[in-house]
Amino acid sequence: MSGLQELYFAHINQVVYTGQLENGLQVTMIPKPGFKETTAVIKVDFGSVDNEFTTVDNHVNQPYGLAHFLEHQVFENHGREDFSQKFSQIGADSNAFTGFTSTNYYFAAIDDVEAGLDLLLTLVSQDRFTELSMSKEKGIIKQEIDMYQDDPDYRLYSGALSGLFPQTALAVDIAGTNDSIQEIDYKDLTTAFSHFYRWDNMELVIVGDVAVDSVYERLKSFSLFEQTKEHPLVSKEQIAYNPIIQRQSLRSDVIKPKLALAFRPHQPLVRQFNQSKLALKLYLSMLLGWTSSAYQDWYDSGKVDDSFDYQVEVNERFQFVMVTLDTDEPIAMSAKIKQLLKQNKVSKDVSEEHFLSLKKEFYGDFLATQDKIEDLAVSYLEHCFDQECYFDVPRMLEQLSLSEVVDFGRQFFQQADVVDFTIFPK
Amino acid sequence: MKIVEGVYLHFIQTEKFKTHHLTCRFSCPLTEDNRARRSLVAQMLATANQAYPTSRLFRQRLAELYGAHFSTKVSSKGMTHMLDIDISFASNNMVLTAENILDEVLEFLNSVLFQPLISIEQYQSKTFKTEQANLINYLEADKEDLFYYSDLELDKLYFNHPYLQESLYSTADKVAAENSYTAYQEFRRMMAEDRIDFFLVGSIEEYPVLQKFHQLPLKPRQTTLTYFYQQDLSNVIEEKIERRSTSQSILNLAYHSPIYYGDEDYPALLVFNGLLGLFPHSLLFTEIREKSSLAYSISSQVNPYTGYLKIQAGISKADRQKVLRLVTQQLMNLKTGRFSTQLLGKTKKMLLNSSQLALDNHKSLVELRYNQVALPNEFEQMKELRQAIQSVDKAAIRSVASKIRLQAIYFMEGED
Repeated sequence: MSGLQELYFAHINQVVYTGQLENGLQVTMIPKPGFKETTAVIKVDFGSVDNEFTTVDNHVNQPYGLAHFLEHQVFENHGREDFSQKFSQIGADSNAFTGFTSTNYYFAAIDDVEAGLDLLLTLVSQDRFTELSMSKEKGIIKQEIDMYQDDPDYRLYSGALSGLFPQTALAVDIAGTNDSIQEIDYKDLTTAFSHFYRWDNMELVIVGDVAVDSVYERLKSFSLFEQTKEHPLVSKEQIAYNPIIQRQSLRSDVIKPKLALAFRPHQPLVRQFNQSKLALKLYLSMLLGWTSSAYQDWYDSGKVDDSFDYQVEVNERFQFVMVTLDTDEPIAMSAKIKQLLKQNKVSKDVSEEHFLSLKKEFYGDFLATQDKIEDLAVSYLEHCFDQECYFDVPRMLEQLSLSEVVDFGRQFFQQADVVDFTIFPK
Repeated sequence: MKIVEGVYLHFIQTEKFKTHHLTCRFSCPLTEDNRARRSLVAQMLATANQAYPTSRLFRQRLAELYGAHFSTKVSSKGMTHMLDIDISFASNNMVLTAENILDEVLEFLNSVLFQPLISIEQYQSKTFKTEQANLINYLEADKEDLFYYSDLELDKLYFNHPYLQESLYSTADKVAAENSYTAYQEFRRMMAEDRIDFFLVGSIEEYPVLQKFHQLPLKPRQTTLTYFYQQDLSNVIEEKIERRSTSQSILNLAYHSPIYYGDEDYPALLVFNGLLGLFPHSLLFTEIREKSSLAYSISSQVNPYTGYLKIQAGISKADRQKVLRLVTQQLMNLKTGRFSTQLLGKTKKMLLNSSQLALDNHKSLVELRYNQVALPNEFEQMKELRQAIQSVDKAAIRSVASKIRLQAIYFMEGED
């Protein structure tokens, strides 16, 4: 097959095809025989944290919320029928989302996948917004920002991040603020578009019951690829490790206090992102997950409830761990959780047996994702780093040992900076 | 397949999934007391039982079964209450050991159903009290989710029937008024009197499974279920404004829409709702969001079991009248046929495609099968519904639009 590499993952009986087109676009196809839906996602390596960057002749500092604003505007079409309408026209559902480090556009279709792919690539190949479309967008995004601000769990999460990474884009909503979006002008958007919406800064993944060869041939002959764009050199600003704000709180219309604990590694991780993420997740599950005796004690004594959750974010730009819970005893729980994660005294939940059952659970979660077309596409992209692939997760799970996980987790939490964010009832 | 009268097992055979799915659905008529009690039962079922007497042991077992995902949920169709136990789990050929995960999961379900955590006719009080306290908290916290909260407030305003005026999970007060005895007796009633449907989705060898189900100690039962609720059209539009200290305001509109699942104009109702507010190309989205920049989130939904259509929009406080006027205008355009045939065609295509998407999801397959076996309707085959959607024309849309009448407005007024 021309230019496509075939990978076979025997664990789950799954073939995956990857290749890179001449223009630098990375393409992955994950065939799913028997499924009706095909989803294609194109990821642009440009997210909310990339508001500051250096080009050949300029240092650029753009308003917060720019990547998200751009995401909305990319669907525009010089005031004519926009791209989401064009997708509807072929019966495909389309949407987009912006994260900290990337902007993702996707469609889901039943038939006419190739027409959908043409539209998706056309969508990100060129900007078509106007001053008028931009000014209309500001009203819509204001409503979006307000909606998120009204969600206490979201405020908890973003509040904790603002303490952990102060004076960086991570301290601000992905959509920006009501003030920052007013500052965004036409030139900001075109500058960002021309520097980051380049084929060699994107990755395409297609999941579904697709004819791999013919789709790949179609991609190679896609006409807009001929218009080669300049490839300006850009370097993104590092996320600054400013001193943390240890403790913040606010009052809001909530029933119970909400607590978030966020941990930043002593120094940024530079490699083995997927393995680090997996190790941290296993470590957290073992010590304070559903199957731990620590969680059971807290749950039985009414200190925590089902809202208890933890999240591990590991990517090339930054990493953090966040534990969130509704609790009547935020101060006591904060101390208990920090103490537990440091593991100065080894918990009785640390055992080979417990570890093994968690590995099985994680493998089951991985399998469950295989049956959800859109989740699979997104998870694949999220775990795609240089030399690292989502489908290696089962192998990594198999190889990780209890002592590796405990050593890694203990070291991470003993050295990490930690912040508390609390929302108290009014 | 009938196990005994009122208890059925359904296989949904498909090769494409790497995981299997089991649903156990209890169906019964809505009553005054059963919502609160069944919410408590749903909590207890997902917490512990005699075989796995703490939530840690319960979860530990599920982890060992390759992270089998266990959950319970309540829902309704008209005047029928449904409690589901859902378990998704790895298919046997995807795991490295020789374990028979399906057998183990059936064994686990057995412990959930037949070994409840009780001490003499009532749930064990310590665990029960914790779960009750948590449920009360979750119900109180519902008001933190503004879209959900205002949706419940709209129901309260719209429905005449008291059972439909509150959340299916009931209210904090009513849950607090129940106890370990009343909740457990409700569970016994479910086991003895409810219609029970078991669904198994995946590539499954039927005979051994069927044998296992035949051994379950479930007695025959007679159930009469009403899946539809009708309420008279009112001449008065109920209106309520509530101030909250939020940024956004939420406008909620309730319409009488007397078209039910399986009715002749049911396909036209689906297309009508698609034109109005289900898709990015729908009128509410293009006119109110894209052209007028008045909302980020705006949509409509129909309930073909209660004859009810709702519209919900997150907006600024000052735009209430403007948005209401624009919504009314879109409905008027549908009523007078002022929309393009292109828009109609697009909507039908999107609806047909989303009906196909349902075939990729375990639980959607279960829902489709339930409707086929439990509901009286004319669309026993998906194919017929698809053809009916295909033939919906402008006249059918106008006819649906003329039957839709505004009945209630709930406005949650924020500060911005």
